[in-house]
Amino acid sequence: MIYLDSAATSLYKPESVQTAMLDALHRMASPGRGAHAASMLAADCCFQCRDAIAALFHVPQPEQVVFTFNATHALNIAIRSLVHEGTHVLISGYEHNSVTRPLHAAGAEIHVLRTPLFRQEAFLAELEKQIEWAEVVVCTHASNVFGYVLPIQSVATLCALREIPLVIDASQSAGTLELNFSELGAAFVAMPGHKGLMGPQGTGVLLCKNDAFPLLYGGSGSDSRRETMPDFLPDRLEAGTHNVAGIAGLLAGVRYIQSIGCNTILMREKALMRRFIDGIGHEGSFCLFVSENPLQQASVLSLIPLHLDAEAFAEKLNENGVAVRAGLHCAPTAHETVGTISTGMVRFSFSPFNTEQQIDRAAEICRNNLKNT
Amino acid sequence: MPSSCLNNAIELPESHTHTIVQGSAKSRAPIRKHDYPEHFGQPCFVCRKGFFKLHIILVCRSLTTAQKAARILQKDGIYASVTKAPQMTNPGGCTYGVKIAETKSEAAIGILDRAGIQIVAESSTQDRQRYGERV
Repeated sequence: MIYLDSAATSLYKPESVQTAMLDALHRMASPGRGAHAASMLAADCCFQCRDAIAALFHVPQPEQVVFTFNATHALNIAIRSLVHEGTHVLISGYEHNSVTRPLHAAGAEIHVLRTPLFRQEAFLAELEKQIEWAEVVVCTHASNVFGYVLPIQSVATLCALREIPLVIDASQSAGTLELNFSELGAAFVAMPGHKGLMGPQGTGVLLCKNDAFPLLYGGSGSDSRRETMPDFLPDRLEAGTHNVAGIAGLLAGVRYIQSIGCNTILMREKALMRRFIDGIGHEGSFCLFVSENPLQQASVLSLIPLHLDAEAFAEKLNENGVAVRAGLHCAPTAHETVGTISTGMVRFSFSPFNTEQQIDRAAEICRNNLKNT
Repeated sequence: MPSSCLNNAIELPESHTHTIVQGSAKSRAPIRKHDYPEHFGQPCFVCRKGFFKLHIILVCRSLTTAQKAARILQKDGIYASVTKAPQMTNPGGCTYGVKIAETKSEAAIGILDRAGIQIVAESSTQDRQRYGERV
């Protein structure tokens, strides 16, 4: 199989991830649940992971790194902490359901900034116009459908000037695009562990500037006599037993990224994407979404087959051994913004572990199937 | 520096030595030495009775804070290990702290204070029946 769905989950991971997880399963118990060797080993693993993530994203203290089950869990905590019934929330037109659904559930007054694809200036201009009345801003760093990189530093500056809390969804950028938490000054940054950070499924991270409201209640291994959750991070947001094997894998993934460098990974993925674009050519009947400015697009590429249903095309690719994601990608807001809500799209996303041969073969299969429609 | 292997509180042993008899030949030379801090908290392998070590536990608000505190102290050359704090030291219930040699407590508290780490409580070395650890 040629896996081109790394925007959903990184299937190809460093070997060290698997090794670390097996080691954790064999030797580690629960952190914060005792002082015996197996518990302390798990605690040490979790601390090292917090510390490594803090270093990668320039987070001042490891306590500000909270483990979650995934990015959706992290975003739910962030939104619950800041948004209440009637809170005015400004979001980009490229948000995922993991943002929009919790906002609807909280009863927020949502305003979507619908600006053209790959037009950062237009987005900033619109944001500046509308930010005055916003109480919270939620913005993705990179669209999971189009790979469109939003100007997150400028968004953060605008929010900071007006002291409006900003929540960043770094699901598609963590591990590839540079992200400096201290400089951004965001209230929260949410990310999955199983995509760009190369950890296993069931891991996620929430970077917290200050306090947050817990989503789950239960044992934390601290302040046990109190009926409420502890009032300090990370314990306040980490009720229940940790996914220690997952965190061990995540640590191995983060260390791999630190050893290679985010930019090297991004360059590799984008080179593969460019090769794929060149490989599928221009002869088929499809509409491809590519930015003229490479800096505005991460290694996520979508196309619409003009004479074939997106799901049917993805199925054809699957029959030929190419794994891609078709449909709305849990981001109807993004499709509404661009006008592709009725057709959906087929998304190709790249991993640094994809080979040139895989890319050439996948492009050839696409070309053949698109020609035949 | 005194060195003995009694089940009594002693001054912090920089080393812990034994005089042993091997066969008929008497040797006054210590054959093994426990160097502090490498063997801190471990039982004496010769007499197996163990001994008291005077230490204090600087109780932190959370496990993560205790881990951070231990790392900071280690970087500053103070041997510190993370341990669960005695229940009576924290009114909130379970938590963790850093265990350090009593002789290093003043320096350690200063270092942690400068690092902005809040110490919830200190185990009292005066009251070693409660907080002294027999290993």
